[in-house]
Amino acid sequence: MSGIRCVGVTIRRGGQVVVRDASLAVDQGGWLALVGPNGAGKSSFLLALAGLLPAEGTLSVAGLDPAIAPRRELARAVALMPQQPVLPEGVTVRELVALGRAPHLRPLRGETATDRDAVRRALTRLELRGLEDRLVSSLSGGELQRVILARVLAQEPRVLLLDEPTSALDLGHQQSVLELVDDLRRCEELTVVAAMHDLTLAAQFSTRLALLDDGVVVADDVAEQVLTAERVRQVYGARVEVLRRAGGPVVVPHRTAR
Amino acid sequence: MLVGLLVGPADLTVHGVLLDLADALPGVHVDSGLTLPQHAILWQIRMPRVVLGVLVGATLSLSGATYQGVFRNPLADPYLLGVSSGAGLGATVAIVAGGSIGPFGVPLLAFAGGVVGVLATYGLGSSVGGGRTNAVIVLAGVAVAAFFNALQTLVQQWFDDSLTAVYAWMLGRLSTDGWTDVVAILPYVVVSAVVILLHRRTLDLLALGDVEAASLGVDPARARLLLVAAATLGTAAVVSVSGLIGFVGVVVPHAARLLFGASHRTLLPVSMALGGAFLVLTDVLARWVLAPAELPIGVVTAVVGAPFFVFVLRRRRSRA
Repeated sequence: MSGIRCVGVTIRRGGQVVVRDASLAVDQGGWLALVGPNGAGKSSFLLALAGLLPAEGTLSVAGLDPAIAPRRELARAVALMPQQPVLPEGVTVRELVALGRAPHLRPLRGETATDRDAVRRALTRLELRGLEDRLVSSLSGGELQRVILARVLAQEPRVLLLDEPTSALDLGHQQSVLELVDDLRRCEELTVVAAMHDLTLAAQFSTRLALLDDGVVVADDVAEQVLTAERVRQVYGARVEVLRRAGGPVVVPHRTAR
Repeated sequence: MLVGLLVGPADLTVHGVLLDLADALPGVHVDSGLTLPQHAILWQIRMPRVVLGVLVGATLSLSGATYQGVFRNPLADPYLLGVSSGAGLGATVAIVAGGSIGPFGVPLLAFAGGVVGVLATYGLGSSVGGGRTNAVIVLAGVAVAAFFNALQTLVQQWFDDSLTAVYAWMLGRLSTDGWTDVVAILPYVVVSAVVILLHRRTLDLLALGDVEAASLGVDPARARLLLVAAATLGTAAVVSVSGLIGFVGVVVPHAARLLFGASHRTLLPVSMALGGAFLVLTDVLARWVLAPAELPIGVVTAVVGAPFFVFVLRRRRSRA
Protein backbone atom coordinates (compact mmCIF):
# COMPACT_ATOMS: atom_id res chain seq x y z
CA MET A 1 0.00 0.00 0.00
CA SER A 2 2.72 2.47 0.95
CA GLY A 3 5.09 1.38 -1.75
CA ILE A 4 5.68 3.00 -5.10
CA ARG A 5 4.45 1.98 -8.55
CA CYS A 6 5.32 3.77 -11.76
CA VAL A 7 4.20 2.62 -15.19
CA GLY A 8 5.30 4.29 -18.42
CA VAL A 9 6.41 7.52 -16.73
CA THR A 10 7.72 10.29 -18.97
CA ILE A 11 8.92 13.60 -17.51
CA ARG A 12 9.60 16.78 -19.43
CA ARG A 13 11.55 19.76 -18.14
CA GLY A 14 11.70 22.93 -20.19
CA GLY A 15 10.45 21.08 -23.30
CA GLN A 16 13.10 18.37 -23.00
CA VAL A 17 12.35 14.77 -22.14
CA VAL A 18 14.44 13.98 -19.03
CA VAL A 19 12.86 10.62 -18.14
CA ARG A 20 11.41 8.38 -20.86
CA ASP A 21 8.82 5.65 -20.37
CA ALA A 22 10.16 4.52 -16.98
CA SER A 23 8.44 1.68 -15.11
CA LEU A 24 9.68 1.07 -11.57
CA ALA A 25 8.21 -0.42 -8.43
CA VAL A 26 9.28 -0.88 -4.84
CA ASP A 27 7.21 -2.46 -2.06
CA GLN A 28 6.53 -0.86 1.29
CA GLY A 29 9.63 -1.11 3.46
CA GLY A 30 11.94 -1.46 0.48
CA TRP A 31 14.91 0.71 -0.50
CA LEU A 32 15.19 1.61 -4.16
CA ALA A 33 18.52 3.14 -5.13
CA LEU A 34 18.60 5.26 -8.28
CA VAL A 35 22.04 5.35 -9.83
CA GLY A 36 23.37 6.71 -13.09
CA PRO A 37 25.66 9.42 -14.45
CA ASN A 38 25.05 13.15 -13.91
CA GLY A 39 21.97 14.29 -15.82
CA ALA A 40 20.51 10.79 -16.13
CA GLY A 41 17.17 11.97 -14.68
CA LYS A 42 17.47 10.78 -11.06
CA SER A 43 16.54 14.11 -9.47
CA SER A 44 13.69 14.71 -11.91
CA PHE A 45 12.30 11.30 -11.08
CA LEU A 46 12.35 12.08 -7.35
CA LEU A 47 10.67 15.46 -7.94
CA ALA A 48 7.91 13.76 -9.94
CA LEU A 49 7.36 11.22 -7.14
CA ALA A 50 7.00 14.15 -4.71
CA GLY A 51 4.42 15.76 -7.01
CA LEU A 52 6.74 18.68 -7.75
CA LEU A 53 7.15 18.00 -11.48
CA PRO A 54 4.32 17.00 -13.80
CA ALA A 55 4.68 13.54 -15.31
CA GLU A 56 2.88 11.49 -17.95
CA GLY A 57 2.02 7.89 -17.16
CA THR A 58 0.76 6.23 -13.99
CA LEU A 59 2.31 7.09 -10.62
CA SER A 60 1.29 5.83 -7.21
CA VAL A 61 3.24 6.91 -4.14
CA ALA A 62 2.09 5.71 -0.70
CA GLY A 63 -1.31 5.04 -2.26
CA LEU A 64 -1.60 8.59 -3.59
CA ASP A 65 -1.38 9.98 -7.10
CA PRO A 66 1.11 12.85 -6.74
CA ALA A 67 -0.43 14.71 -9.66
CA ILE A 68 -3.85 15.11 -8.03
CA ALA A 69 -3.40 14.54 -4.27
CA PRO A 70 -3.81 17.65 -2.09
CA ARG A 71 -0.42 19.17 -1.22
CA ARG A 72 -0.71 18.81 2.53
CA GLU A 73 -1.91 15.22 2.37
CA LEU A 74 0.97 14.35 0.07
CA ALA A 75 3.41 16.17 2.36
CA ARG A 76 2.28 14.08 5.33
CA ALA A 77 3.02 10.87 3.42
CA VAL A 78 6.03 11.76 1.27
CA ALA A 79 9.14 13.69 2.32
CA LEU A 80 11.85 14.90 -0.03
CA MET A 81 15.39 15.70 1.01
CA PRO A 82 16.66 18.06 -1.69
CA GLN A 83 20.18 17.90 -3.03
CA GLN A 84 20.87 21.61 -2.54
CA PRO A 85 18.70 22.90 0.27
CA VAL A 86 17.89 26.61 0.42
CA LEU A 87 19.13 28.21 3.64
CA PRO A 88 17.08 31.06 5.02
CA GLU A 89 19.07 33.75 6.85
CA GLY A 90 18.80 34.01 10.61
CA VAL A 91 16.99 30.71 11.20
CA THR A 92 18.19 28.29 13.88
CA VAL A 93 18.62 24.54 13.58
CA ARG A 94 15.59 23.86 15.79
CA GLU A 95 13.40 26.24 13.80
CA LEU A 96 14.39 24.64 10.49
CA VAL A 97 13.78 21.11 11.75
CA ALA A 98 10.43 22.19 13.23
CA LEU A 99 9.30 23.25 9.74
CA GLY A 100 9.09 19.54 8.97
CA ARG A 101 5.96 19.48 11.14
CA ALA A 102 4.20 22.04 8.93
CA PRO A 103 1.97 19.59 7.02
CA HIS A 104 0.78 18.07 10.32
CA LEU A 105 -0.22 21.32 12.00
CA ARG A 106 -3.82 22.49 12.05
CA PRO A 107 -4.14 25.97 10.50
CA LEU A 108 -5.26 27.80 13.65
CA ARG A 109 -3.33 25.83 16.25
CA GLY A 110 0.28 25.94 17.27
CA GLU A 111 2.59 23.01 17.81
CA THR A 112 1.33 20.28 20.10
CA ALA A 113 3.34 18.02 22.40
CA THR A 114 3.40 15.42 19.60
CA ASP A 115 5.02 17.91 17.25
CA ARG A 116 7.66 19.02 19.75
CA ASP A 117 8.34 15.38 20.52
CA ALA A 118 8.88 14.50 16.86
CA VAL A 119 11.30 17.42 16.49
CA ARG A 120 13.22 16.39 19.62
CA ARG A 121 13.47 12.77 18.44
CA ALA A 122 14.72 13.84 15.01
CA LEU A 123 17.35 16.11 16.57
CA THR A 124 18.52 13.33 18.90
CA ARG A 125 18.65 10.71 16.14
CA LEU A 126 20.94 12.88 14.03
CA GLU A 127 23.15 13.87 16.98
CA LEU A 128 22.14 17.51 16.68
CA ARG A 129 21.44 18.14 20.38
CA GLY A 130 23.70 21.02 21.32
CA LEU A 131 23.53 22.56 17.87
CA GLU A 132 19.82 23.48 18.19
CA ASP A 133 20.35 27.19 18.70
CA ARG A 134 23.02 27.63 16.06
CA LEU A 135 22.09 29.49 12.89
CA VAL A 136 21.82 27.13 9.92
CA SER A 137 23.92 29.55 7.88
CA SER A 138 26.87 28.89 10.21
CA LEU A 139 26.94 25.10 9.82
CA SER A 140 29.40 22.95 7.90
CA GLY A 141 28.19 21.00 4.86
CA GLY A 142 28.00 17.77 6.82
CA GLU A 143 26.13 19.27 9.77
CA LEU A 144 23.71 20.89 7.36
CA GLN A 145 22.94 17.64 5.60
CA ARG A 146 22.12 16.09 8.96
CA VAL A 147 19.87 19.05 9.81
CA ILE A 148 17.93 18.68 6.55
CA LEU A 149 17.60 14.95 7.14
CA ALA A 150 16.31 15.70 10.65
CA ARG A 151 13.66 17.99 9.14
CA VAL A 152 12.63 15.22 6.77
CA LEU A 153 12.39 12.75 9.68
CA ALA A 154 10.33 15.22 11.72
CA GLN A 155 7.87 15.15 8.83
CA GLU A 156 7.22 11.46 9.76
CA PRO A 157 6.51 10.35 6.20
CA ARG A 158 5.75 6.86 4.92
CA VAL A 159 7.92 7.39 1.85
CA LEU A 160 11.35 9.01 2.03
CA LEU A 161 12.83 10.51 -1.14
CA LEU A 162 16.53 11.30 -0.77
CA ASP A 163 18.52 13.18 -3.40
CA GLU A 164 22.21 12.45 -2.82
CA PRO A 165 21.74 12.29 0.96
CA THR A 166 25.42 11.84 1.79
CA SER A 167 27.23 13.87 -0.87
CA ALA A 168 28.68 16.34 1.66
CA LEU A 169 29.59 13.79 4.33
CA ASP A 170 32.86 12.06 5.15
CA LEU A 171 32.95 8.28 4.95
CA GLY A 172 32.09 7.73 8.63
CA HIS A 173 29.08 10.05 8.54
CA GLN A 174 27.98 8.59 5.20
CA GLN A 175 27.78 5.18 6.78
CA SER A 176 26.09 6.33 9.98
CA VAL A 177 23.45 8.39 8.15
CA LEU A 178 22.67 5.55 5.76
CA GLU A 179 22.52 3.07 8.69
CA LEU A 180 20.09 5.40 10.41
CA VAL A 181 17.82 5.58 7.35
CA ASP A 182 18.06 1.80 7.09
CA ASP A 183 17.01 1.42 10.76
CA LEU A 184 13.98 3.62 10.16
CA ARG A 185 13.11 1.64 7.09
CA ARG A 186 13.19 -1.63 9.03
CA CYS A 187 11.54 -0.40 12.25
CA GLU A 188 8.82 1.75 10.74
CA GLU A 189 8.29 0.07 7.38
CA LEU A 190 9.41 3.22 5.63
CA THR A 191 9.83 3.08 1.87
CA VAL A 192 13.06 4.73 0.68
CA VAL A 193 13.96 5.97 -2.79
CA ALA A 194 17.44 7.44 -2.91
CA ALA A 195 19.45 8.90 -5.76
CA MET A 196 23.01 7.88 -4.94
CA HIS A 197 26.39 8.53 -6.45
CA ASP A 198 28.48 5.90 -4.70
CA LEU A 199 27.71 2.59 -6.40
CA THR A 200 29.18 0.51 -3.58
CA LEU A 201 27.09 2.18 -0.87
CA ALA A 202 24.04 2.02 -3.15
CA ALA A 203 24.55 -1.70 -3.55
CA GLN A 204 25.12 -2.27 0.19
CA PHE A 205 22.02 -0.43 1.40
CA SER A 206 19.37 -0.89 -1.31
CA THR A 207 16.98 -3.79 -1.68
CA ARG A 208 16.64 -2.90 -5.34
CA LEU A 209 18.77 -0.85 -7.68
CA ALA A 210 17.73 0.96 -10.85
CA LEU A 211 20.35 2.23 -13.29
CA LEU A 212 19.33 5.24 -15.38
CA ASP A 213 21.10 6.43 -18.46
CA ASP A 214 19.94 9.53 -20.33
CA GLY A 215 16.42 9.27 -18.91
CA VAL A 216 15.97 5.57 -19.62
CA VAL A 217 15.94 2.76 -17.05
CA VAL A 218 18.58 0.40 -18.46
CA ALA A 219 18.54 -2.09 -15.57
CA ASP A 220 16.31 -2.63 -12.54
CA ASP A 221 16.98 -5.55 -10.24
CA VAL A 222 18.93 -6.50 -7.11
CA ALA A 223 22.37 -4.88 -7.03
CA GLU A 224 24.27 -8.12 -7.83
CA GLN A 225 22.42 -8.35 -11.16
CA VAL A 226 22.61 -4.68 -12.14
CA LEU A 227 26.22 -3.87 -11.33
CA THR A 228 28.51 -5.61 -13.77
CA ALA A 229 31.84 -4.22 -14.95
CA GLU A 230 30.61 -4.28 -18.53
CA ARG A 231 27.42 -2.32 -17.80
CA VAL A 232 29.21 0.29 -15.70
CA ARG A 233 31.69 0.74 -18.54
CA GLN A 234 28.87 1.25 -21.06
CA VAL A 235 26.81 3.67 -18.98
CA TYR A 236 29.49 5.66 -17.15
CA GLY A 237 32.34 5.28 -19.61
CA ALA A 238 34.43 4.15 -16.62
CA ARG A 239 36.92 1.34 -16.21
CA VAL A 240 36.00 -0.56 -13.05
CA GLU A 241 36.33 -3.91 -11.40
CA VAL A 242 33.32 -5.32 -9.56
CA LEU A 243 34.29 -7.45 -6.56
CA ARG A 244 31.70 -9.87 -5.20
CA ARG A 245 31.54 -9.48 -1.42
CA ALA A 246 29.12 -10.74 1.23
CA GLY A 247 27.62 -7.27 1.92
CA GLY A 248 27.02 -6.66 -1.79
CA PRO A 249 29.10 -5.96 -4.88
CA VAL A 250 31.99 -3.51 -4.49
CA VAL A 251 32.78 -1.26 -7.44
CA VAL A 252 36.45 -0.31 -7.64
CA PRO A 253 37.94 2.10 -10.17
CA HIS A 254 40.61 0.37 -12.18
CA ARG A 255 43.83 1.84 -13.52
CA THR A 256 46.49 0.03 -15.46
CA ALA A 257 49.99 0.84 -14.26
CA ARG A 258 52.03 3.01 -16.62
CA MET B 1 2.43 55.87 23.36
CA LEU B 2 2.34 57.81 26.57
CA VAL B 3 5.01 60.16 25.29
CA GLY B 4 2.83 60.78 22.25
CA LEU B 5 -0.05 61.71 24.50
CA LEU B 6 2.06 64.05 26.60
CA VAL B 7 3.77 66.09 23.92
CA GLY B 8 1.85 68.83 22.20
CA PRO B 9 1.22 72.56 22.07
CA ALA B 10 -1.30 72.49 24.91
CA ASP B 11 0.13 71.94 28.38
CA LEU B 12 -1.16 68.75 29.96
CA THR B 13 0.49 67.41 33.09
CA VAL B 14 1.77 63.83 33.22
CA HIS B 15 -0.21 63.35 36.36
CA GLY B 16 -3.43 64.61 34.78
CA VAL B 17 -3.11 62.51 31.65
CA LEU B 18 -2.44 59.35 33.64
CA LEU B 19 -5.41 59.91 35.90
CA ASP B 20 -7.65 60.75 32.95
CA LEU B 21 -6.59 57.53 31.23
CA ALA B 22 -7.31 55.57 34.39
CA ASP B 23 -10.70 57.25 34.58
CA ALA B 24 -11.56 55.85 31.17
CA LEU B 25 -11.10 52.27 32.36
CA PRO B 26 -14.40 50.60 33.13
CA GLY B 27 -15.20 50.66 36.83
CA VAL B 28 -12.55 53.23 37.69
CA HIS B 29 -13.59 56.74 38.64
CA VAL B 30 -10.94 59.25 39.53
CA ASP B 31 -10.81 62.98 39.12
CA SER B 32 -7.88 63.78 36.82
CA GLY B 33 -7.95 67.48 37.48
CA LEU B 34 -7.95 68.13 33.72
CA THR B 35 -10.27 70.86 32.50
CA LEU B 36 -12.88 70.00 29.92
CA PRO B 37 -10.90 71.47 26.98
CA GLN B 38 -7.82 69.56 28.17
CA HIS B 39 -9.87 66.40 28.32
CA ALA B 40 -11.05 67.04 24.75
CA ILE B 41 -7.50 67.63 23.52
CA LEU B 42 -6.42 64.34 25.05
CA TRP B 43 -9.26 62.24 23.63
CA GLN B 44 -10.09 63.99 20.36
CA ILE B 45 -6.67 65.11 19.17
CA ARG B 46 -3.78 63.33 20.81
CA MET B 47 -5.28 59.90 21.37
CA PRO B 48 -6.51 59.38 17.78
CA ARG B 49 -3.16 60.55 16.47
CA VAL B 50 -1.25 58.11 18.63
CA VAL B 51 -3.60 55.27 17.69
CA LEU B 52 -3.24 56.19 14.02
CA GLY B 53 0.54 56.21 14.42
CA VAL B 54 0.48 52.74 15.93
CA LEU B 55 -1.77 51.43 13.15
CA VAL B 56 0.27 53.01 10.36
CA GLY B 57 3.64 51.96 11.80
CA ALA B 58 2.51 48.43 12.59
CA THR B 59 0.95 47.95 9.16
CA LEU B 60 3.87 49.34 7.17
CA SER B 61 6.28 47.13 9.13
CA LEU B 62 4.11 44.04 8.85
CA SER B 63 3.66 44.56 5.09
CA GLY B 64 7.37 45.15 4.66
CA ALA B 65 8.22 41.93 6.51
CA THR B 66 5.65 40.08 4.39
CA TYR B 67 6.96 41.40 1.07
CA GLN B 68 10.51 40.53 2.12
CA GLY B 69 9.44 36.99 2.98
CA VAL B 70 7.27 36.42 -0.08
CA PHE B 71 9.83 37.71 -2.57
CA ARG B 72 12.76 36.29 -0.58
CA ASN B 73 14.35 39.69 -1.02
CA PRO B 74 15.61 41.75 1.91
CA LEU B 75 15.19 44.94 -0.13
CA ALA B 76 11.52 44.37 -0.90
CA ASP B 77 9.34 47.00 0.69
CA PRO B 78 6.22 48.87 -0.37
CA TYR B 79 8.40 51.52 -2.05
CA LEU B 80 10.55 49.26 -4.16
CA LEU B 81 7.63 47.15 -5.33
CA GLY B 82 5.62 50.02 -6.77
CA VAL B 83 2.84 49.63 -4.20
CA SER B 84 3.36 53.05 -2.67
CA SER B 85 3.72 54.92 -5.94
CA GLY B 86 0.67 53.14 -7.34
CA ALA B 87 -1.30 54.03 -4.23
CA GLY B 88 0.08 57.56 -4.51
CA LEU B 89 -1.26 57.88 -8.03
CA GLY B 90 -4.64 56.51 -6.96
CA ALA B 91 -4.88 58.86 -3.99
CA THR B 92 -3.87 61.86 -6.11
CA VAL B 93 -6.59 61.10 -8.63
CA ALA B 94 -9.08 60.80 -5.80
CA ILE B 95 -7.99 64.10 -4.21
CA VAL B 96 -8.13 65.87 -7.56
CA ALA B 97 -11.59 64.49 -8.26
CA GLY B 98 -12.65 65.90 -4.91
CA GLY B 99 -15.76 64.64 -3.11
CA SER B 100 -17.43 63.35 -6.27
CA ILE B 101 -16.40 59.75 -5.61
CA GLY B 102 -17.56 59.50 -2.02
CA PRO B 103 -15.86 59.67 1.38
CA PHE B 104 -13.95 56.43 0.87
CA GLY B 105 -12.67 57.42 -2.56
CA VAL B 106 -9.11 58.04 -1.42
CA PRO B 107 -8.59 54.66 0.31
CA LEU B 108 -10.31 52.77 -2.53
CA LEU B 109 -8.39 54.39 -5.36
CA ALA B 110 -5.16 54.17 -3.34
CA PHE B 111 -5.76 50.47 -2.90
CA ALA B 112 -6.53 49.97 -6.60
CA GLY B 113 -3.36 51.88 -7.48
CA GLY B 114 -1.30 49.81 -5.04
CA VAL B 115 -2.58 46.55 -6.52
CA VAL B 116 -1.90 47.73 -10.07
CA GLY B 117 1.58 48.79 -8.94
CA VAL B 118 2.53 45.44 -7.41
CA LEU B 119 0.99 43.50 -10.31
CA ALA B 120 2.95 45.58 -12.82
CA THR B 121 6.19 45.02 -10.90
CA TYR B 122 5.54 41.32 -10.52
CA GLY B 123 4.44 40.83 -14.13
CA LEU B 124 7.32 42.82 -15.54
CA GLY B 125 9.83 41.10 -13.27
CA SER B 126 8.72 37.57 -14.11
CA SER B 127 8.32 38.16 -17.87
CA VAL B 128 11.73 39.79 -18.26
CA GLY B 129 13.61 37.74 -15.69
CA GLY B 130 12.43 34.27 -16.70
CA GLY B 131 12.46 33.07 -13.10
CA ARG B 132 11.52 35.66 -10.52
CA THR B 133 15.08 36.54 -9.75
CA ASN B 134 15.64 39.04 -6.97
CA ALA B 135 17.54 41.63 -8.96
CA VAL B 136 14.98 41.72 -11.76
CA ILE B 137 12.05 42.21 -9.39
CA VAL B 138 13.81 45.13 -7.74
CA LEU B 139 14.67 46.71 -11.10
CA ALA B 140 11.11 46.23 -12.32
CA GLY B 141 9.87 47.89 -9.13
CA VAL B 142 12.11 50.89 -9.72
CA ALA B 143 10.82 51.22 -13.29
CA VAL B 144 7.17 50.90 -12.27
CA ALA B 145 7.60 53.36 -9.40
CA ALA B 146 9.26 55.91 -11.69
CA PHE B 147 6.46 55.56 -14.24
CA PHE B 148 3.68 55.94 -11.66
CA ASN B 149 5.43 58.86 -10.00
CA ALA B 150 5.64 60.57 -13.38
CA LEU B 151 1.92 59.97 -14.03
CA GLN B 152 1.14 61.25 -10.57
CA THR B 153 3.15 64.44 -11.16
CA LEU B 154 1.31 64.89 -14.45
CA VAL B 155 -2.13 64.60 -12.84
CA GLN B 156 -1.06 66.87 -10.01
CA GLN B 157 0.26 69.62 -12.32
CA TRP B 158 -2.79 69.40 -14.54
CA PHE B 159 -5.11 70.14 -11.65
CA ASP B 160 -2.86 72.52 -9.78
CA ASP B 161 -5.62 73.97 -7.61
CA SER B 162 -5.36 70.91 -5.35
CA LEU B 163 -1.55 71.04 -5.32
CA THR B 164 -1.27 71.84 -1.62
CA ALA B 165 -3.46 68.93 -0.57
CA VAL B 166 -1.52 66.53 -2.77
CA TYR B 167 1.86 67.79 -1.56
CA ALA B 168 0.87 67.58 2.06
CA TRP B 169 -0.24 64.02 1.43
CA MET B 170 2.95 63.02 -0.39
CA LEU B 171 5.27 64.19 2.37
CA GLY B 172 3.48 61.97 4.81
CA ARG B 173 1.73 63.08 7.95
CA LEU B 174 -0.49 61.82 10.70
CA SER B 175 -3.61 63.93 10.69
CA THR B 176 -5.27 65.54 13.66
CA ASP B 177 -8.91 65.48 12.60
CA GLY B 178 -10.19 63.20 15.32
CA TRP B 179 -11.04 59.58 14.85
CA THR B 180 -12.13 59.73 11.16
CA ASP B 181 -8.90 58.36 9.67
CA VAL B 182 -8.59 55.65 12.30
CA VAL B 183 -12.12 54.46 11.59
CA ALA B 184 -11.60 54.66 7.82
CA ILE B 185 -8.55 52.37 7.70
CA LEU B 186 -9.26 50.09 10.67
CA PRO B 187 -11.22 47.40 8.76
CA TYR B 188 -8.61 47.07 6.01
CA VAL B 189 -5.72 47.06 8.45
CA VAL B 190 -7.34 44.40 10.64
CA VAL B 191 -8.17 42.11 7.70
CA SER B 192 -4.64 42.48 6.34
CA ALA B 193 -3.01 41.78 9.70
CA VAL B 194 -5.21 38.77 10.48
CA VAL B 195 -4.56 37.14 7.08
CA ILE B 196 -0.81 37.68 7.33
CA LEU B 197 -0.51 36.54 10.95
CA LEU B 198 -2.47 33.37 10.19
CA HIS B 199 0.04 32.61 7.44
CA ARG B 200 3.19 33.30 9.43
CA ARG B 201 4.21 29.65 9.13
CA THR B 202 3.67 29.75 5.37
CA LEU B 203 6.16 32.61 5.20
CA ASP B 204 8.74 30.47 7.01
CA LEU B 205 8.14 27.71 4.46
CA LEU B 206 8.35 30.06 1.47
CA ALA B 207 11.78 31.10 2.76
CA LEU B 208 12.95 27.58 1.87
CA GLY B 209 12.26 28.13 -1.81
CA ASP B 210 9.37 26.92 -3.92
CA VAL B 211 10.43 23.27 -4.22
CA GLU B 212 10.93 22.72 -0.51
CA ALA B 213 7.85 24.75 0.43
CA ALA B 214 5.78 22.61 -1.93
CA SER B 215 7.27 19.39 -0.54
CA LEU B 216 6.15 20.56 2.91
CA GLY B 217 2.56 21.02 1.79
CA VAL B 218 2.34 24.65 0.63
CA ASP B 219 1.13 25.76 -2.79
CA PRO B 220 3.73 28.51 -3.35
CA ALA B 221 1.92 30.42 -6.09
CA ARG B 222 -1.37 30.57 -4.21
CA ALA B 223 0.26 31.44 -0.88
CA ARG B 224 2.28 34.22 -2.51
CA LEU B 225 -0.78 35.73 -4.17
CA LEU B 226 -2.78 35.72 -0.94
CA LEU B 227 0.01 37.24 1.14
CA VAL B 228 0.83 39.94 -1.42
CA ALA B 229 -2.87 40.84 -1.66
CA ALA B 230 -3.16 41.12 2.13
CA ALA B 231 0.02 43.19 2.49
CA THR B 232 -1.05 45.45 -0.38
CA LEU B 233 -4.49 45.98 1.16
CA GLY B 234 -2.92 47.09 4.45
CA THR B 235 -0.26 49.27 2.84
CA ALA B 236 -2.67 50.97 0.47
CA ALA B 237 -5.18 51.71 3.24
CA VAL B 238 -2.49 53.17 5.46
CA VAL B 239 -0.81 55.16 2.70
CA SER B 240 -4.16 56.64 1.70
CA VAL B 241 -4.52 58.45 5.03
CA SER B 242 -0.92 58.96 6.08
CA GLY B 243 0.70 59.69 2.73
CA LEU B 244 4.10 58.38 1.81
CA ILE B 245 5.99 57.58 4.99
CA GLY B 246 9.20 55.92 3.92
CA PHE B 247 11.79 53.75 5.62
CA VAL B 248 9.48 52.09 8.13
CA GLY B 249 8.68 49.01 6.02
CA VAL B 250 12.30 48.13 5.43
CA VAL B 251 14.08 49.33 8.58
CA VAL B 252 11.74 47.99 11.24
CA PRO B 253 11.54 44.35 10.00
CA HIS B 254 15.33 44.34 9.60
CA ALA B 255 15.84 45.59 13.12
CA ALA B 256 13.37 43.00 14.40
CA ARG B 257 15.17 40.26 12.46
CA LEU B 258 18.59 41.23 13.78
CA LEU B 259 17.34 41.45 17.35
CA PHE B 260 14.95 38.48 17.56
CA GLY B 261 15.76 36.14 14.66
CA ALA B 262 14.16 35.56 11.29
CA SER B 263 11.42 33.09 12.17
CA HIS B 264 8.20 34.76 11.09
CA ARG B 265 6.36 33.50 14.15
CA THR B 266 8.23 36.06 16.24
CA LEU B 267 9.28 38.40 13.45
CA LEU B 268 5.76 39.47 12.45
CA PRO B 269 4.43 40.42 15.90
CA VAL B 270 7.74 42.02 16.89
CA SER B 271 7.79 44.05 13.66
CA MET B 272 4.27 45.27 14.34
CA ALA B 273 5.09 46.32 17.90
CA LEU B 274 8.39 47.99 16.96
CA GLY B 275 6.79 49.66 13.92
CA GLY B 276 3.95 51.12 16.00
CA ALA B 277 6.32 52.39 18.66
CA PHE B 278 8.77 53.73 16.09
CA LEU B 279 6.16 55.76 14.25
CA VAL B 280 4.63 57.26 17.40
CA LEU B 281 8.09 58.31 18.57
CA THR B 282 9.03 59.82 15.22
CA ASP B 283 5.70 61.63 15.20
CA VAL B 284 6.57 63.11 18.61
CA LEU B 285 9.87 64.27 17.16
CA ALA B 286 8.09 65.71 14.11
CA ARG B 287 5.83 67.76 16.36
CA TRP B 288 8.56 68.82 18.74
CA VAL B 289 11.60 69.78 16.63
CA LEU B 290 10.05 72.87 15.01
CA ALA B 291 7.26 73.33 17.59
CA PRO B 292 4.68 74.70 17.31
CA ALA B 293 5.12 74.04 13.56
CA GLU B 294 5.25 70.39 12.41
CA LEU B 295 7.80 68.61 10.29
CA PRO B 296 6.42 66.07 7.77
CA ILE B 297 6.78 62.71 9.49
CA GLY B 298 8.23 61.13 6.33
CA VAL B 299 11.26 63.37 6.75
CA VAL B 300 11.72 62.28 10.35
CA THR B 301 11.40 58.54 9.65
CA ALA B 302 14.16 58.83 7.07
CA VAL B 303 16.45 60.93 9.28
CA VAL B 304 15.91 58.74 12.34
CA GLY B 305 15.64 55.45 10.47
CA ALA B 306 18.90 55.48 8.58
CA PRO B 307 21.28 55.95 11.55
CA PHE B 308 19.22 53.51 13.61
CA PHE B 309 19.66 50.90 10.92
CA VAL B 310 23.42 51.44 10.84
CA PHE B 311 23.52 51.12 14.63
CA VAL B 312 21.69 47.77 14.56
CA LEU B 313 23.92 46.50 11.76
CA ARG B 314 27.09 47.41 13.66
CA ARG B 315 25.77 45.83 16.82
CA ARG B 316 25.22 42.56 15.04
CA ARG B 317 28.68 42.66 13.47
CA SER B 318 30.38 43.18 16.80
CA ARG B 319 28.43 40.31 18.36
CA ALA B 320 29.13 37.81 15.58
